[in-house]
Amino acid sequence: MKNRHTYTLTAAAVVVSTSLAALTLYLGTDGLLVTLVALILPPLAWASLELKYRGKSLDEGRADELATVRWSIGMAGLIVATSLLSNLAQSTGVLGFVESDLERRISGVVFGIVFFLYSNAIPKRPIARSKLSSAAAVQGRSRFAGRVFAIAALLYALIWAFGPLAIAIPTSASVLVVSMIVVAGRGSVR
Amino acid sequence: MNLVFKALADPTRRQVLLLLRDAPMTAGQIASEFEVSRPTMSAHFAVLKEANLVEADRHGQKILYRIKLSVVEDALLSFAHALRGKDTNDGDGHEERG
Repeated sequence: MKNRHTYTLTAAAVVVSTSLAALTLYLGTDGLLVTLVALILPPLAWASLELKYRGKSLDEGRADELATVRWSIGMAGLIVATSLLSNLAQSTGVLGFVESDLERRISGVVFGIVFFLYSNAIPKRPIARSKLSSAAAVQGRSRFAGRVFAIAALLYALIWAFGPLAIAIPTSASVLVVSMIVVAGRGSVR
Repeated sequence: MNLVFKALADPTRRQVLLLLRDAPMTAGQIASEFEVSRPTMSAHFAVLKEANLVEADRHGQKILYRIKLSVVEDALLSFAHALRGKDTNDGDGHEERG
């Protein structure tokens, strides 16, 4: 992934999530602890990362690692921002005409999408030099894990988008647990 | 994403990726599977590396090529291969329908 784009996207996600957290605090809506965590953690993580690597020249491998960490912080900010935005919209009555659990649905779908993006990238992870001699096996496991988790992530998002809320939590959690068991089982097979 | 589509558009490059899906291979092992010149094969490797679809690791005296397809890119490759089939190639990069 391009380092310049991840810097911009991460900055945008952190600014938006922090602003929404501040607005939520100001309006006094529910979930004080979560809002405080949302207000502090993303900007703290991002600022720490940027200050640590400020002015340092990095080789391609380290630059890719830095881009990956930035992207992770940006995704966390996106999840937080989505949750806060839907909470604010319902609290202020903007989404009063739809069901009160819309925030939970939106959060579930966003989490599923983020999980899909991570799963999609699993097969592209570099192989450690110490494992190059078994690269074929490592490659096979990575491809399998990526496919299984990507399918699980899509099912997770679909359950939260369209499924009955009463069973959304156990069903979506079961999908994730089953996917982890399947991947772990494949990994143990030689 | 444009680089990925460009890389997958060529039948030789698709075949290279399909070979590498099974296991990493050296440049020589890959080239032996195709009737193309070495400069042409190098050009194909360059396109695949530019699209971040393969990675080259130095393994002793040899260079080992490893596939780097995301789940979506893997699905695109399978779809393109199923749609286009194994198109023949006259060895100079010109595609002929078989």
